[in-house]
Amino acid sequence: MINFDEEIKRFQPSLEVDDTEDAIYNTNTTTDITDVVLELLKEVRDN
Amino acid sequence: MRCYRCDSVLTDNGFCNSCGANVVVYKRVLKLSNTYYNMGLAKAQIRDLSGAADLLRRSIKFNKKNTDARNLLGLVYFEMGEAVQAMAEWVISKNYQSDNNLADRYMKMLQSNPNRLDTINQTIKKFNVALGYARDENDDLAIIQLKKVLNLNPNLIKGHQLLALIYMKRGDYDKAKKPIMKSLKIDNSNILSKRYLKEIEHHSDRKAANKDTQSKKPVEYTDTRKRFKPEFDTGANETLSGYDVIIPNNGYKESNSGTLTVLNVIIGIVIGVAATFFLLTPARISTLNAIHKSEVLDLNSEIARLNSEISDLETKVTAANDNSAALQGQIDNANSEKDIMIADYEKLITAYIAFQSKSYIECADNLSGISAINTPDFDAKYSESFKNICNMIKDESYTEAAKAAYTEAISLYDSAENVESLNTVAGKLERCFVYNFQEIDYKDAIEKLRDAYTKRYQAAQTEEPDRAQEYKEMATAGMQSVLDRISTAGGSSSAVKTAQDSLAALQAM
Repeated sequence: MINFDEEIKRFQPSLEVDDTEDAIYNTNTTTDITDVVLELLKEVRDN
Repeated sequence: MRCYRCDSVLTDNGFCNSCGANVVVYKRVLKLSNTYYNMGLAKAQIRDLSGAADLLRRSIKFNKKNTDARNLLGLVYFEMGEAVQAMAEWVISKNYQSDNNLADRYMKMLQSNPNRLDTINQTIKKFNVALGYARDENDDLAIIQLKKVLNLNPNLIKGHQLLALIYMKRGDYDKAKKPIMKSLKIDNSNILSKRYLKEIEHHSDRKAANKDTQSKKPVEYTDTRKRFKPEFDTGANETLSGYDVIIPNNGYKESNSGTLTVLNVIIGIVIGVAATFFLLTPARISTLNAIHKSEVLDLNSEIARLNSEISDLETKVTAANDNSAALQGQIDNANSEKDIMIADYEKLITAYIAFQSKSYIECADNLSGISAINTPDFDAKYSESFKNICNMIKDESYTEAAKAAYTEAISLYDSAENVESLNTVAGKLERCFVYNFQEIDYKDAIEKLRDAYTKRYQAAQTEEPDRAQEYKEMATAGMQSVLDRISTAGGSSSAVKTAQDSLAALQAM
């Protein structure tokens, strides 16, 4: 049985066009695995 | 695949041929990213958009510079109705790879049509409003808003799901199924949509089961048949063959009663009248009201227009009245000036006639009565002939008039005892100073004038006590005028002294 109140919490407001800039900055700040690997390689090399 | 350190192309070796960097792990990470991209692409091709989005996000987590994965993720978002997230992915992709990037084309397509972008933004805003309504339990408003949103942006999966959820909350599972099916058509493996569909189908099954149970109830139907059994004598105990037809009892009977027919007609008429009264009359009243309202509005508008016109006309009338008053004033001034001018000419003619007959006092009186005589306007106001005549007779008449007035005053002076005769003497002496006092013994004239004033004041105290003070003031003013004239015209200092002493004496009396 679906609980409406619980379900409605899953729905988040969509990003508006004015929020595009924020969305780009928030998405772009992630560090990927490549960054992590390169960091590890750098550490190994330095040691 | 390029080296992370020197950006040269890598080979199958575990190190970079150019800089010698160890690239084994790096290459594996990039390969994993590409593998996730390929899996995401495969999912996107079979319209498993949420699955594709998940895999593409993983691909980007391994290699954020995987622009193919990013572009595809943007495309998937866009297909799911999330235009802003799509734009964000394409912008980042463009940032990592500025040349030969598919994201360019996608963004240009979107930006080249501002109306489309505006519509997308409007739908997003409306979806957020609808979500607010749903949270506030304003289901009807939320449904209306969501229908608008989905009409403009039919791919917004969240919109379909929210609409279905609201319908399910209201227990309207049949209606809920439609948006869910649409959402699954866009994204055929969306977990939330599938959950909702399962719930809907669960309810539909239960409903169908209940229906079956109800449809099996007409066991009573068998009983009905039993009731008819004796009539048709079918034999309840006989087994029905496949060719037997069971005619259910529907209870319909042909009416043969005349009374019932009449009653039905009457009921029909009553219903007809009632329908006319309750349905047509309000509609008619409403129409009439609407017409009247419209007429009232038209009339109000007309009244407002007429009031405006009246106001304009009143303003014009006021302006015209002001203008008329100004013109009348100008006419009055012109008339007044004309009358003065005529009077001046009459005085000049009279003065000239008096001059001819040697009545110098009358001549001088008329000349001095000309309005602009002895003023700066004299030259500009009158014609040349007027000025010539005036100048020709003025000096001689003034001189002779002064002499004559002085002579007459002296002759009357001794015998003057009462106010009237003393007034005559004072008036004649005053005129001497108005015309030309230098041709007479003006020091004597001043003394005589002072004595005449004094005597007149004393006589007035007896004859006209009420005006005695007035005569005193007249005497003071007259002597002041004489003093001014002789001072201005260069009279002798002894005469001036006499006038000053006389003025002081008159003031002190």
